[in-house]
Amino acid sequence: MNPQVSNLVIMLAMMQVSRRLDMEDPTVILYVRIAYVTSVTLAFLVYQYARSKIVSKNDLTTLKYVSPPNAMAGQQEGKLEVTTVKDYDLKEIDSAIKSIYTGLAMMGFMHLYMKYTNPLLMQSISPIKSALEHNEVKIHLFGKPASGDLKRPFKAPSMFGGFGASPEAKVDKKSIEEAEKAGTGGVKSD
Amino acid sequence: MSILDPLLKALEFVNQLNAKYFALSYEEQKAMTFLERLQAYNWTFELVVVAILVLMYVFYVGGTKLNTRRASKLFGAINESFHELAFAKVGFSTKGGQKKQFISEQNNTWFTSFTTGRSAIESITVQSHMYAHYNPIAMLVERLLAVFFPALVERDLKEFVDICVMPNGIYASTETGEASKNADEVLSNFKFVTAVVNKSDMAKVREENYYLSITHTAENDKLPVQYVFMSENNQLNGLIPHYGGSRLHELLEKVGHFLTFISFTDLPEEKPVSDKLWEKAQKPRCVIRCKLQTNAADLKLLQELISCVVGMYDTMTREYVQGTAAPYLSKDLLKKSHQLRSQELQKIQKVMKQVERELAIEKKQKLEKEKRREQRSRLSGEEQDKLDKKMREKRERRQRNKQKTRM
Repeated sequence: MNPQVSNLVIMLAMMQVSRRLDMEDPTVILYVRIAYVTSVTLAFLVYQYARSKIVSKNDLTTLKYVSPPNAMAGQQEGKLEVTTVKDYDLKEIDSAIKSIYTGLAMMGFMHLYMKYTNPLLMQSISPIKSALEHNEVKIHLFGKPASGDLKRPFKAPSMFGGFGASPEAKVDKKSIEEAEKAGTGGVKSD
Repeated sequence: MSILDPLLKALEFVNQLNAKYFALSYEEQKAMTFLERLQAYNWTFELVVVAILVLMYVFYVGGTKLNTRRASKLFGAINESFHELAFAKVGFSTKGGQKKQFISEQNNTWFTSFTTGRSAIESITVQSHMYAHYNPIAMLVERLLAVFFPALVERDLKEFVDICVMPNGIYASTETGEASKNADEVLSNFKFVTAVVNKSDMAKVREENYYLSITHTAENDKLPVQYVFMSENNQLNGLIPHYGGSRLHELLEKVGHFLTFISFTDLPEEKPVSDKLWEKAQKPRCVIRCKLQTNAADLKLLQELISCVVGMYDTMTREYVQGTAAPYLSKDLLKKSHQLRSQELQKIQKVMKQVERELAIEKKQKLEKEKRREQRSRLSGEEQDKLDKKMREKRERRQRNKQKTRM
């Protein structure tokens, strides 16, 4: 099943569970907290283990691709990315780790400051699920080959298959050569 | 519960410290001696503030001294290698005749040294940036910002050393030997871009340097595995290994942990926006960029790297001046480089023309608007109404025509 669809299903299921729980009961709150912290800790450990594997492999193969233009930043043309497999993997895994921190901050605000417990319960499965479904974890922990869907650069996941998916990075020789000669570097902002 | 609650609580706590003192009436305070009033007042808040100020001062002095100490180590080693390379003038001299190894700017965060006076080399400028150790809070905030908003991080926030070696195209075989006269002709052969770049910095250096953003990136067996070539033409990839030889190859392996890139270039770091800037900014040079190192072993390697680059310019200049060996760069290669520069210049001119055109249209529209407004102001009220009506009809007609064509 598409991970985003399964996330939605889990969310709906957890909503039903949360309706049957007494969120005012301190014992329930304690168990929900334990479930959330365990899930986040496990996800963090999975990412860190994958990270250590990436660092120890030290794959310095060069990776070139043209990333799609970022409309939000006012870009009209794609940007050439020249990196190594190691740096690409580290960037991906670090952004996943960063999303854990962001989630923690948001949950901390919602639960500790706003006193909501429902979001904590909803989020007690998704961190570990996302970690185990992460492309880097699949490659470095489960030993899956980096081909097909796991070929770098990774495709952005889409909820409805091909429809509505964000544009993919270009890896063809012509696009890369054009981007290499574009001379877009050294533009100083005022 | 408000977001400002913690702040309000803190303010209340500070006010509570002297609640007893403030509760004293005017008469009671008047009855007390100066010493008694001093004793009655709770000085905790003021002492904490003074302690923070002292701490800030200690950090300021400590931070600036730390940077100066590191700069002394770095520039001491680099200037030593300049003396070994027989440069006539190393460092700076003050008005009083004192020698200075380097100059520091912006609270000891930017350091510069300079050397000149040698065959084949016009000058070498060394610039280094260090963290603002005197302000640890700002450093911490910058690091935190960098984690969550990497786009906001300026390159200058990092610690680095930039060494810019400028050739002069003049060769003298001995100290008393006569200098060659065809410097401009020799320098015209240094108009190309080729670089050895550390793989971990490839994307960053392409983004920061215009001259590297027009190059091809290629892996090559002639280089240690942690580097790639970035050259405007693939045939130029052999130039650095050709002149650097096995000495440079060994050195590159050893400096992999701190070298960012070595680049021979004549194009500017900042993208020129006009043809005048394009002409002005072209200077043949070799740029060595590396992360800041202050331990003796790494500084020794950096000295060797500088000496290697100077040696490469020596050989290239000698080949062109004496004609003893066939230079690596063929006429055909230089022609290709020249073509690329013409293409880049055309691109800049195209953008310039487009900008000029847009400005002219904008100006024209502004003038027309002004003219219409002036004409209208000259008319009487009735005539103004007539004109408005005419304009309105014109707009409506235009809109109708548009809708017709759509249908």
